[in-house]
Amino acid sequence: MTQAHLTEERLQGAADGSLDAEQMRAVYGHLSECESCAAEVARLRTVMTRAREANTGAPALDDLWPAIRSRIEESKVVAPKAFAGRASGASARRPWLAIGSTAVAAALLVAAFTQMQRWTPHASEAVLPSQDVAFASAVDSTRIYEDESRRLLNDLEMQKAMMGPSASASLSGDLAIIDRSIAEQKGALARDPHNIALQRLLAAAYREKVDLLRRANNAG
Amino acid sequence: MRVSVQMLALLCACVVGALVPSRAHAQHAGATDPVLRARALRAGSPLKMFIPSGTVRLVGWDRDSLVIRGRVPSSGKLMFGGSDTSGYKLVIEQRDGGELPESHLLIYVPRRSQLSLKTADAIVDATDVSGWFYTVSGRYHIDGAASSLDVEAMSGDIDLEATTPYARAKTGKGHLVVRGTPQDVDASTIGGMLDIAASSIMHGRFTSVTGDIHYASAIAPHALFELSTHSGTIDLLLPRDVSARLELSTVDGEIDNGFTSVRPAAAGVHNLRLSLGAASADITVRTFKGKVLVRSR
Repeated sequence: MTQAHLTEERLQGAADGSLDAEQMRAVYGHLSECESCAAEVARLRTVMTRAREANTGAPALDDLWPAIRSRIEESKVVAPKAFAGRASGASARRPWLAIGSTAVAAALLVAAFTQMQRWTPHASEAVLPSQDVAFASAVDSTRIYEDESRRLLNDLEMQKAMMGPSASASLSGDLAIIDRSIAEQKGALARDPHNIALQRLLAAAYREKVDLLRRANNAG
Repeated sequence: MRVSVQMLALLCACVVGALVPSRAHAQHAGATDPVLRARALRAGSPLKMFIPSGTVRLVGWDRDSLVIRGRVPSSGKLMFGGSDTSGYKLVIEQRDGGELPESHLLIYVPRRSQLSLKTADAIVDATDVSGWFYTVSGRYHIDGAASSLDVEAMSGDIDLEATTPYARAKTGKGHLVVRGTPQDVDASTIGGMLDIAASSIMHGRFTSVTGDIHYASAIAPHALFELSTHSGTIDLLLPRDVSARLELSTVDGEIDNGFTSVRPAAAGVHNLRLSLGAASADITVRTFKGKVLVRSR
């Protein structure tokens, strides 16, 4: 043997075939001369084969993705702050908390249902019952982004003095574009208040405004 | 003879002086002084840089050291920070409120460093680097492999061509391009065009206010996409054998469906639902008054 033994990373790579062609050639060249490394690679391959054969019951990543995807779908819009950040395990450890949470949730559901009763369905875009939660989430998202953009605008007044002329001009132009789009969407929502697609577009426009204002705070 | 020995000694002194930059040179680089700086830096260490203008070539390498070379004009003041291997800071400041100093730098960083680079209008070309990248009106082109990329511009162009599990890119009126092999992408512009040509995306959110969005690539199985604009056109150029469920809606725009051989699951003046192939991916498109184009290739 003319060189040092392979690193752990190279051994693993040789065993699972993840090395690129050039690395593979170099590694195989070494393995043909080094019994110790060749034995280690063989041992790793055996372990990997056994691991593949063993039925661990753990789902493959491809199997997990649809569930992850549906969770993403559910959380496309921001959850209201009051509902965010509650760990599911906590209620299992503290039953009283679970009872309390259930009572609060029930009260909120009743309140939400009462609120929904006041809505007047629109002829063209009537909200289906299954879309109620999504619509309410979109409204909450809009409100949260709107509040945040207002706060950031106040902060920006301090930053503007530090901003260069090109950044300042760019910011003013982009804010005007977003504000025009928000105004148009709000006008359309006033005419069609239960249009969920419109409500989501409005939330997206406010989100864009928040992103822009955050970027602008870095431009000083 | 004595004269030539003195000349030789003087020449040697000049050569040594030029090759070994003094501490003073490194701290205050002049117009003709090259910048050359190298130091040990642990992999994964934070690295903060502010390089307002000029060109920057960033390369991630498999060494635990940082190397900076190039030139900084006399209008710039080069400052370094960080006394050990756990982090580093490089700042180029303009002297006396003059013009932005145009530096030209080649920087090698440990591949797994978490970079934080901010520029005003510099042109940055980066390979195999990860972290946060910001510019006011400069340009970024990032390729290679990255653990995550967060690129923001007020009005500059962004070209992402990297392999990364997570990429976020935002610009105002700049042109934003997403290619390479990213998995989770959040990309948006305000007035700039947004082009996407990456078939590896599993979760993509693409938005623009008035800019057009063009998607031209295959769709990964089980991918989830959301595209929206206020008035920009959304143009989807998909393979003929795409497997996706499309939900298209526009409040005041129009929808042009190129998959005419497939009967829509639902169709109205301003909305259309299509199931193409096995419908494994989900694509939601929304515009306020922008046009929606779905074409096959």
